[in-house]
Amino acid sequence: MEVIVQVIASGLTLGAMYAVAAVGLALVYGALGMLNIAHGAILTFGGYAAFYVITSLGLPMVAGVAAAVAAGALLGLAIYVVLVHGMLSAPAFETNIFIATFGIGMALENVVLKLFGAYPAAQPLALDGAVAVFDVFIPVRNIAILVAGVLLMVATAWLLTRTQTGNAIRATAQNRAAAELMGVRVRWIYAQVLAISGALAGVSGIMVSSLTNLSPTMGGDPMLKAFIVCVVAGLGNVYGAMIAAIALGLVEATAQYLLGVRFGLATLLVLVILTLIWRPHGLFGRTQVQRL
Amino acid sequence: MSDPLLSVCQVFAGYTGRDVLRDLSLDVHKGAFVSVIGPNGHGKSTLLKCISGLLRTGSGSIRFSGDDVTGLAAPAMAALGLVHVPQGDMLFADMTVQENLMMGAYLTSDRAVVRRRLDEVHAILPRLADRRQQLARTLSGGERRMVAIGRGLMAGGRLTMFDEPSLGLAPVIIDQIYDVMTRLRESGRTIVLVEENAMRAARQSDRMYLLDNGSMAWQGNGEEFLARPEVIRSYLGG
Repeated sequence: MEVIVQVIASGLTLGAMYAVAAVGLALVYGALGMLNIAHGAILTFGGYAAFYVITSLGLPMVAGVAAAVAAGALLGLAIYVVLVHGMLSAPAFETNIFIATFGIGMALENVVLKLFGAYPAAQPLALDGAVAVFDVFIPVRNIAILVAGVLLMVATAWLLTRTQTGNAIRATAQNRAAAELMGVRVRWIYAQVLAISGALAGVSGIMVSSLTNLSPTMGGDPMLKAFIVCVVAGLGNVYGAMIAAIALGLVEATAQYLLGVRFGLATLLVLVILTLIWRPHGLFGRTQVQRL
Repeated sequence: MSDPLLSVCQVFAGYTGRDVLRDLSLDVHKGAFVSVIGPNGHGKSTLLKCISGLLRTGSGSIRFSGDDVTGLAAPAMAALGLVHVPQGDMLFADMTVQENLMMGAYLTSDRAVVRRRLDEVHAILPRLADRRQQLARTLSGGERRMVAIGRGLMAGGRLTMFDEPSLGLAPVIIDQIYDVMTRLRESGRTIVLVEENAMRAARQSDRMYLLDNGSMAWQGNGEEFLARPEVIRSYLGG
């Protein structure tokens, strides 16, 4: 019983963390057809922004969260202004932007390295203590990650389905020319999507670093997991990514317990291969059927 | 006669250097029902895309309610009250019928106005009221066309352009679509209809333009058109 509770608790924590990172990635891919490789670096920036505001400026934790959100959103906007705006109307946008964000990601990682150094630092924005559930002590920070993750998913779903901006985002993703005919300023929508995705990455940076440490390369692993989640769900499928993230978190936690920690990622990759053999467009993906 | 609501003047336009429209001019007066007819592939849809801003004009000018709107992008044209119901419906496939209709009123912030328009659309196209919560991708071809028309009407524009609303539909459904066109005409709306079936369009048009190879070959009112069978024969092959 203790073991099951333990595995579920750590699986849900991982899943919630992956979900926050993956949803941002899926949003951008769904709306723009853009695979944002710099997502991991934005996440790192978010973690360090919270660290800087709390440790160096001595501000309260709430300010740390706000700083991470703001840093992520601003970086997302910057990627729109610097890269997307100019490349959008050029041919082969999807390939070009993929390479370009790869470069931006490396540059951002090195900016962090220059500003904060290569040594890992502890994330000050983390809750201490533990709660006993069926005689298993679950750290409060894991519960906080789960709660925050669920809240962010609900907020994202609410934004996409219940607000005018969300409707415009979905409409643009489904038919860009038709959205323009409705009066949607598509480029402004793209800028907003990148900002929202960046803000989610910023929060996810706090989550990741509160469980491990802050380091300039910390974005790599969650970026890879978020990408795996998106591929399994079907690229660009936001709700699919939420479900797949939780499922893969549970699978990884189970594999880590049964087979050992080092088999966690390997198990995920095997699962990806099997999923893609069975459903090449992902679990929730759909083959695009062109209708006349 | 007063100034036209829409005036297309000597427009050249096309795709990647190849002109589809050549020296094309057209006027639409307020409250008029104007049809643009002509064979397939002679620039009818290109003309509508130029007017709505989906396609840049090469040269020439477009004026809408007195203002020069040449080169304005589609969202700006929509904001001026120009509505384009495109060929092939271009619905938001993973949104519900209701959500598609609400996207039509994207630029209208007054909720009372939106609600009134929705009631109007449901009155004209009652099927859409029954299908409210259904995803657009699951509709039949005729229902999808009705959503596209209803979505256009939700904008409450000053000029509404329909690109072949009867294309690819069963004859029974085409009759229904034309009933809708008649109702829209009677309500005093300004309409531009692009159509391949000239006879059908002629019966309700105040003005008809025959587009041939990218320029206007003939224009007149519907009755004149019906009285001149040689026009139909020479351009549309009988």
